[in-house]
Amino acid sequence: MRRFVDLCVRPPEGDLAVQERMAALACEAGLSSVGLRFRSEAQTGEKESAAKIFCDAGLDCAFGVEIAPASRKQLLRQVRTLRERFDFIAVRSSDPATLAAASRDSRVDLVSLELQKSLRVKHSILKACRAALELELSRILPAPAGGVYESLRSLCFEIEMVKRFRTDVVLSSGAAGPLGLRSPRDMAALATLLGLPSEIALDAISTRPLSLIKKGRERLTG
Amino acid sequence: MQRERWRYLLVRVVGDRKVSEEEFKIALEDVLRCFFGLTGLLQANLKILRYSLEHGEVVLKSRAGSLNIVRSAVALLTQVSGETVSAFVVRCSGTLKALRKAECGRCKLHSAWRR
Repeated sequence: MRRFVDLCVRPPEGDLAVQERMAALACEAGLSSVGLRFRSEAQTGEKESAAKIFCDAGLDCAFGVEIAPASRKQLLRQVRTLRERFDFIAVRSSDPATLAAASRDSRVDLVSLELQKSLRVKHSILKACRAALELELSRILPAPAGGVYESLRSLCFEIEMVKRFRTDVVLSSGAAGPLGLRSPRDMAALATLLGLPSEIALDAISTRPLSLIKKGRERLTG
Repeated sequence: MQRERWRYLLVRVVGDRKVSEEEFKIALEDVLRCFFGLTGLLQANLKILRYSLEHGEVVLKSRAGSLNIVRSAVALLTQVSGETVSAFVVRCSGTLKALRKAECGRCKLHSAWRR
């Protein structure tokens, strides 16, 4: 039986009631593990209190950090200091050169191309990508402000490139609150409709993130 | 002629306020029409079999071949009558009986079944 993991759950800082609700809903949605995503400045106490809430709900928790470096130098500095504190590192950057460097760095686990607008840049990054590409569902959820078409188009292009270059892919909800959480099989179904083969889509939310967490924990324990 | 195959889905709807059956139906059909077009909506042939306002649970019936479309529409559902909601498929089965049995096994028999 598959174990499902959502690697991008952002627990709201200090709001314990909302965190408890998120944990309960994550369980109900069919997740067995969550990757709690924090900012690099997050305090240890904040991480531990969120982890306790999710663990009490019966979920396995992994700690991740999301960084948005503006330059290659900043990226290397942040990765060097953060890799020993978190199970996995996710990078998003609007600078193509920085993101390209991150995608080739073996210490970086996930890269997101959300901030990249150019399809050519996405193509060149994915061509040499060693990290897994993160596809967040929150990018395409219909918002009152609109703009869903562009996001969908961009996501479809990324899926096309993932298939072409056989890049590792991880699906996540990108939830910042309880109402952002989705069932893993629903997310896989959506990715399948957008062009990802169904087995790869299911692996992208189960075996792939699980192996990433395992690798990160092994790295931390030495 | 080959018999039509169906899928039964138990969907949980979560939001800040309770959503009525009619509101949910309209919102889900809007999402289906917006993302998959009228043909997608017709192919899915979606029906609401049970609705529990109290627990926010819905039992949907759809064509087996359109399962991915329905699951995607449920995942893409973010607004019902202007209210932010979240919905996800808790369980999917080929028969109503199996869906009910699976849910009983998890000790989560809600009033949606008793209607």
